[in-house]
Amino acid sequence: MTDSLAAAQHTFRTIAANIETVMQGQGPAIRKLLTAFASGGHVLLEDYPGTGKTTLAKTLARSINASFKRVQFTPDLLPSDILGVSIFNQRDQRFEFRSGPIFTNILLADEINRASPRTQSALLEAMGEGQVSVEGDRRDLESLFFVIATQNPVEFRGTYPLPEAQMDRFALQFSLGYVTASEEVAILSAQERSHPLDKAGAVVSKDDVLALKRGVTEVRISAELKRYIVELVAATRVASGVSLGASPRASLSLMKVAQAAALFDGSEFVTPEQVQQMAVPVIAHRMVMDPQARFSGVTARGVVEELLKKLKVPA
Amino acid sequence: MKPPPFLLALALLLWGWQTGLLAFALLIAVVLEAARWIEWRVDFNVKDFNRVVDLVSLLGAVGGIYCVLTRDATNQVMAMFQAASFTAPSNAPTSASQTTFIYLQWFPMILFPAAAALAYSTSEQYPRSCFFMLARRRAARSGAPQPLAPGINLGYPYLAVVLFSASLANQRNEWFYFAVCAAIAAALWATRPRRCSTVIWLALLILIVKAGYFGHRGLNMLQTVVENKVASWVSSWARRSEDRSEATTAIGKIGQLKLSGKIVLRVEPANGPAPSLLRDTTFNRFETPRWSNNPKSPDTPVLASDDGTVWPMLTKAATNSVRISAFTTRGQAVLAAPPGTAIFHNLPVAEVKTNAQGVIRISGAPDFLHYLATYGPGASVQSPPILESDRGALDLYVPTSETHALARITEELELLEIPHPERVRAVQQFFTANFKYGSFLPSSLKQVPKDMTPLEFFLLKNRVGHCEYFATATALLLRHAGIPARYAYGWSVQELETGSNRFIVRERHAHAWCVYWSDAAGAWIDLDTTPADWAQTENQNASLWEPLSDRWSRAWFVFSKWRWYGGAGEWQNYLLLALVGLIALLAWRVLARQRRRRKVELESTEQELHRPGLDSEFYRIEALLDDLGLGRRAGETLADWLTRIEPVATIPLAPLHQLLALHYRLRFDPQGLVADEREALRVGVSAWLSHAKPA
Repeated sequence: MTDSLAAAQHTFRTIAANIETVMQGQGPAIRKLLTAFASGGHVLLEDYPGTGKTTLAKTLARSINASFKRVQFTPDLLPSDILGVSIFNQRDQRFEFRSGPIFTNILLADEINRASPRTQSALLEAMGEGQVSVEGDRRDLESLFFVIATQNPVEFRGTYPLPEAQMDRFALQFSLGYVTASEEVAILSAQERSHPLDKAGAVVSKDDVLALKRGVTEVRISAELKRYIVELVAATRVASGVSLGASPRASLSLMKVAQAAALFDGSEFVTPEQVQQMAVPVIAHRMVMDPQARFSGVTARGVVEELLKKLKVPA
Repeated sequence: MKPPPFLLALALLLWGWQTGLLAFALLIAVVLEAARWIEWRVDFNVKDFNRVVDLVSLLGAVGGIYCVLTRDATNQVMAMFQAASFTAPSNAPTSASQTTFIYLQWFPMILFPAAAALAYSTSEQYPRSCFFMLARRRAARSGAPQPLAPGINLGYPYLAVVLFSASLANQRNEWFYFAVCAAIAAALWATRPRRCSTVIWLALLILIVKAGYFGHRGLNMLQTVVENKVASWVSSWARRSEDRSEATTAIGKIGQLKLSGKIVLRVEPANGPAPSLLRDTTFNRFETPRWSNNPKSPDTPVLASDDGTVWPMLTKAATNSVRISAFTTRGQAVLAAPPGTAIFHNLPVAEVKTNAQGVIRISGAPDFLHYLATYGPGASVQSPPILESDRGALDLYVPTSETHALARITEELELLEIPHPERVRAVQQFFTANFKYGSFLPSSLKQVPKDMTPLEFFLLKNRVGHCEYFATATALLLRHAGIPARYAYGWSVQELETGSNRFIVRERHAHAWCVYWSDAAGAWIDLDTTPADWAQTENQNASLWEPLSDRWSRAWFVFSKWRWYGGAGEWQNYLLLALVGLIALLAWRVLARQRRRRKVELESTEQELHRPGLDSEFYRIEALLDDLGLGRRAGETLADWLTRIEPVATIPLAPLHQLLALHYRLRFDPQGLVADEREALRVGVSAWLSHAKPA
């Protein structure tokens, strides 16, 4: 393994270990979060309240010596509340730009589906292009920009579900789920006197993270696996019960995430397992299911899992 | 999944042996099994598969039509429509099921192109969408290519079809069940789960075979029981059978006689007028309500002259001749012939037998007969009257229960006082003057006094009846008057077909009359005392279908005549030629496009996907584990697979993880392995294999 890759992998493991001190029993979720983070994608966490979405995001932010901001999305939130606004400075007699929370390294967009579509779209331009347009001016975001959005699958009243185009901007969607009873007891014990989050400090620098991101791009992937990824994504477009399959952006995300996962696993090249493991969180949320299929209980996740079983995997 | 080697061939030979199509079976078996050694393959695409499936469908349709045309099922089914009522007994079900059985026996041949195409194709499976018009059309409409997956491998389904078709020959051999069991067991053996004990597998198999054996024996017994019950129930209203030893008349029964309008015979006078009656058989003993022959006369074979189509019955001068067309059932029939038939021409049958009652029975006949009967007055194949035997004068016998009425009539007509020829005329006049035809039997048997037989009631009181009454009464009256007489049974020829000089004889033209022995002529003479209007009365019962079915019957007759006599005896060969041509055309189209496509492929610059490491030794490990029943699923990666099988495998799999890491690098790392590592993989695999093999 080359030095740069080894260093990148070390960064990876360090962050993961740090997060695990706070989030017990969430190894797979941490792996997914970090692979998205390292591959330059954004993450949508969909889970019930109280499963640790916010803690996970905050721990990641704390682990890196980087700026972290959090926006609680509400129906009356305006785009300027995220992007920033120009204010007239009476002393200097000119407009001054007060940047919004989006000018940060890690942004936690809590309950993203509670804001109006206008506000959601302001965030999504930033996610897609790494830049924002405020009052006609184009402003670049930080080179390290990572969004963790959360949404609550239980409550639908007063929410604006994200449209397909916006779902496509998220590299991964996954949920944390409930931990086992013994792990839950461990969480209780850990928080008996103080929150472990308070003790978790920064373990890597921003430069380390940028090096990690470069490292991911160096992970090798064979033409055969690229073909497998494309076949898998293409298969979602013709699968029955699906009215809109995954886009080429999904193929791209899946390749990058698989590369990051390979690095996380300590490999210099992608293996079929990594593609398969990441396929559901990368692909499923981008698909639109047929209403009829949805009523008969067919889910996007189920379709992708079925395709993974049926499609011949390179071996 | 392909069946194990030679299993299909053995099954095909079993099928060929059972159905008598051994030549076809050999050919098919050789073609299908040779694919294991012949390297030549054709790259069928979806459209080609579509075409093969279409061809098979076409073969199925043509085979079905051929089967129907060459069997008499069509006749029987048409007869069902022509029947005057739905309760009329019909041969259609058995005949149709026989045709279906024959057709199903051909299935291995019909499906052969599909099986052969798969055997010689580069593909392992048929795309499932080929078999469904809807799937094809949906693909065509959406513009998307027809889906290749999921696919169907025809290997085992074809084996199943072959075994099924073999069973339909229904030879009822004891060993057939075990042969089929052996074939299925061989197929199961090839796919058995290797991780389970062979002993348990064999024990279970034996258990199942035994259970199946006793199960089918039990079913067989149940069927026999049910069949006997049904047969005894059905035979009570079966009217016309091949058995000519007795005839149960409807004398003494209430209701209407129900006979269909099905055309059973076509009679074309060739020389002289058409005979008005065609004799089928005669009976000499009456016991109400049954005419029978006593004693039963043995059949004597007739010798054919020259080529086996000319059958001389009697040596006498005969000038009149008539052409008769009739269908046979499974090659057997009783010929309807004019009285005094001397010779049959154009009768291509294996055997002709006759007996003292004048029954002319043939066997080994084609399904359709169109023969020429030359007849003349005088002697017939019937024996002269039996006036002396150990049971008395059989042709003068009158049952004692009827003597009272007969004596009264004889007295009334003063028959015994007039000479013999006059007696016949007197009897005829008696019936013409005093009796009426009625297909309605006495509306209620209650009218018949307790001390009277139905025949007595007919003769003395009612004087209305159908032909069986008239024939029986006439025969008995003549016998009472000392003239030997018999009850004759056959057909009345009276309906001229519209637009031809042919007569048609329908089932409801079945007729009974009396024949008496004339000493002067030295022959049996027909005496039909039934009032002539009986046919009109019967025609009123014609079914609504009749004009339609007549037209069909005529077309069928023309076709049958052409098929069996019209010089088109080789027409099957033409059909076969057409089919061979069709298959050749299909093959040519597929192959021609193949060549074209290969050319296009060469020209196109699309690069083949580079797949390094396909020579990895790790696949040997996978094959070994697959043999042990621990096969990898299609969508399962090697690592996931090893994790899954590790707890159930009997061989330690732990060393494989290291080898797998090497294999993965060989396959999926674009940098690949260095020579040493490649060697390490090779050595590692061999070591593991040599370690694992003995276990």
